[in-house]
Amino acid sequence: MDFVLVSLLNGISYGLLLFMVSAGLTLIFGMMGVLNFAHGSFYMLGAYFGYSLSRYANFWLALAVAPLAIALIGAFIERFMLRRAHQHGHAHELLLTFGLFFVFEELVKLFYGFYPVEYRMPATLTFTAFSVSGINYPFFRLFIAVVAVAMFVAIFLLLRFTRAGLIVRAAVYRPQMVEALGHNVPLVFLAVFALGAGMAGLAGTVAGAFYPTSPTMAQELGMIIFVVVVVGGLGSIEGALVASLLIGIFSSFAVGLDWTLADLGTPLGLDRWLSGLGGLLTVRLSTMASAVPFVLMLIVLLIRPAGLMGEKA
Amino acid sequence: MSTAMASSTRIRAPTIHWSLVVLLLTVLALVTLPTFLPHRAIATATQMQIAALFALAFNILWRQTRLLSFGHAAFFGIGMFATVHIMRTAAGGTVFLPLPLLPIFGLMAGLVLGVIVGFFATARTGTYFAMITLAFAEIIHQLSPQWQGAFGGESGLSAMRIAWAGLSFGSDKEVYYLVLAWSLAAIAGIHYFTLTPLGRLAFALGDNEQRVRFLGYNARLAKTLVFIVSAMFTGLAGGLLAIANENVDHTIFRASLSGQVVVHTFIGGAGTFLGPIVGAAAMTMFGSLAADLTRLWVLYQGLLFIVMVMYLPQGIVGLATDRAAHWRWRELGSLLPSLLAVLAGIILLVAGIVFIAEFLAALTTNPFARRTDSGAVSVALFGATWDRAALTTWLLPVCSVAGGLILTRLGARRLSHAASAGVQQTAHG
Repeated sequence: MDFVLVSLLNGISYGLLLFMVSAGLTLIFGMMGVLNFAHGSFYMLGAYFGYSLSRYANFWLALAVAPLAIALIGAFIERFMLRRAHQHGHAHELLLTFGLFFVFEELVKLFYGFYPVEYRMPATLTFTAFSVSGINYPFFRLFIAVVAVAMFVAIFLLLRFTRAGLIVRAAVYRPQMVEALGHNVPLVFLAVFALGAGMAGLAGTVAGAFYPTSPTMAQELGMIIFVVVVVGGLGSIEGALVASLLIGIFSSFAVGLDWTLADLGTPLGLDRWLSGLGGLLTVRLSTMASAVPFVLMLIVLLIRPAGLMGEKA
Repeated sequence: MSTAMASSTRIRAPTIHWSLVVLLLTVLALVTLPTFLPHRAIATATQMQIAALFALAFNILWRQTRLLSFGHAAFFGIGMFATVHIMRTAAGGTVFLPLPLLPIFGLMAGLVLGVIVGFFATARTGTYFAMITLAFAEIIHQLSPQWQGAFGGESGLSAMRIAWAGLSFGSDKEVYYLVLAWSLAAIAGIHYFTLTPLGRLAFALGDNEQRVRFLGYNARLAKTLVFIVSAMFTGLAGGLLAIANENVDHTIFRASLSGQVVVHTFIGGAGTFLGPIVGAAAMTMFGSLAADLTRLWVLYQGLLFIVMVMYLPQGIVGLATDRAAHWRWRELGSLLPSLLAVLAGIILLVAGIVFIAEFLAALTTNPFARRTDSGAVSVALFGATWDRAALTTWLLPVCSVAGGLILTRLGARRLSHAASAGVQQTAHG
């Protein structure tokens, strides 16, 4: 039971982290129709900026400044690069973000080297929140969750109850109509792209201190957040939240899955015959768990491309 | 004007098919190349051909049907694994399997996987299509290291080239010719495919799918077939690499390989037939040359890709054919200054950026940085020593980049004016 509780908490905390990154990605897709390959890179840059700033100043300053810097980078990319590529069509916008992903990874390697850097959480936050049957639960996991929830509440209030939020929500669904009504849609695009990048940066700054900060983190997380936004429904913030939690909790529990596909035959007495067949049937599910999110994404794409909560197909 | 046209139709000069001449010369050059090249260069040339075929096969989908696949590493990898398995069987000696025919098994493996993935992926278009191909490739990438028998686990599989008909296939040269023969045949096959009814229909699908459907064609089936053709030739390219490398492991399915073929194709020019070939061959060659000189090659390639996507979306080959069609050769004299300005600008830009990047790389990886007695940190680069704190060290590359930008912009503006003027003249003349 305690294992379940700890796994659940870990899953929720990781899921909320995924949400922090994917929220911006899904908003940007909904509005511009561009799946931003470089979004995971913003997360990575957030972690590295946080590392540098906390080395020369402190963690709290990093937490405030790094996301802003990432938001500025995002704004620059949208204003001076994406808009130019947009003239050549949607595919070229996608390709541009794809190129940026490569370049960011190489730049990080150039400045920080190939190996993970020592980005640690501050000592004031390194304590045990509570203990369950001998497992000390680190407070920092809760801290990640709290930051994510605070961000979600802020975004929700902003989108739901302000005039700017109203225009953004409208622009996500009908950009041309909103522009026809006289709103400055390019400015809204710029703001949302910067905001999304900043959120991913914030997630990186917070999570980089807990998880390893390395040049591969953009690729690893980038794939998972694609799954999250597709499963949740491209363009849907609520969907992204649900899908993030789903995938976070699944990943957390999958580590403990100790049975194989062949074991499914046990009730029928077929398990020995099935494991005799070998191949993928005898592989432990915990080692196959990394493929499951992609299977889920595939199923959603084929059966319900609008995702769990998306309205656009 | 009209009399000139009339006379030109009456007296027909014997026309030379320049493209045919160029083609023949290229093939001749490729055949004679290994006699001039050192060993390592032959191996690189083999890799270039395989990369070119891979990119060309990938671009069947994009150029014709406008479907962007982000999972082509799956077909390439499966072709490699299938061929390695067959090579191992051939080594047993019980079955008659001549080595030159083995890439056909890579092709068949690509075909089978292409049927499966193509059937599902063509259910969607645009981003959703890309995501499905990406998901399939990633599932295979995640599962393959677990499946010991089929993919050899973490360590992969290896095989040996078995001699056949007096050919040992032990030297790079023999492998080169084997790969060359297959590549040329495949390139010819892909070109022929673009001329078949299905190939023409594929172009129509890319232009306007709705209209194709309205004409009564089964668009989904056509797209699936084009997908299968693309996957098939990709598998063949994988089979050729399996023969050249004699081993393969699960990292061949990595997403960055799927990305690499996209980068190659779009740098070369995705809208043209030759673009992917030129892009992949050039990038593979530069990558091999640069590997000895710099560890920043991937960064440079990424920057080049971004510049191409933003400023030259038609790619290298697309740009060349565009300009060749619009410029008039007798105006070349007046355009020469602008052309030279662009060229000089690009050289300055590249020099400045490369200097900054290499300098930073040298500073961040300590062994190359030297601390002198006075405490200054200096780096030896391009035959000189540069002090980190000196103003000139930074001013020089920054000026170079700035100067390069100005020159390129001015030159490019004049060139595009000339190009549009040329178009107008042709239109009115």
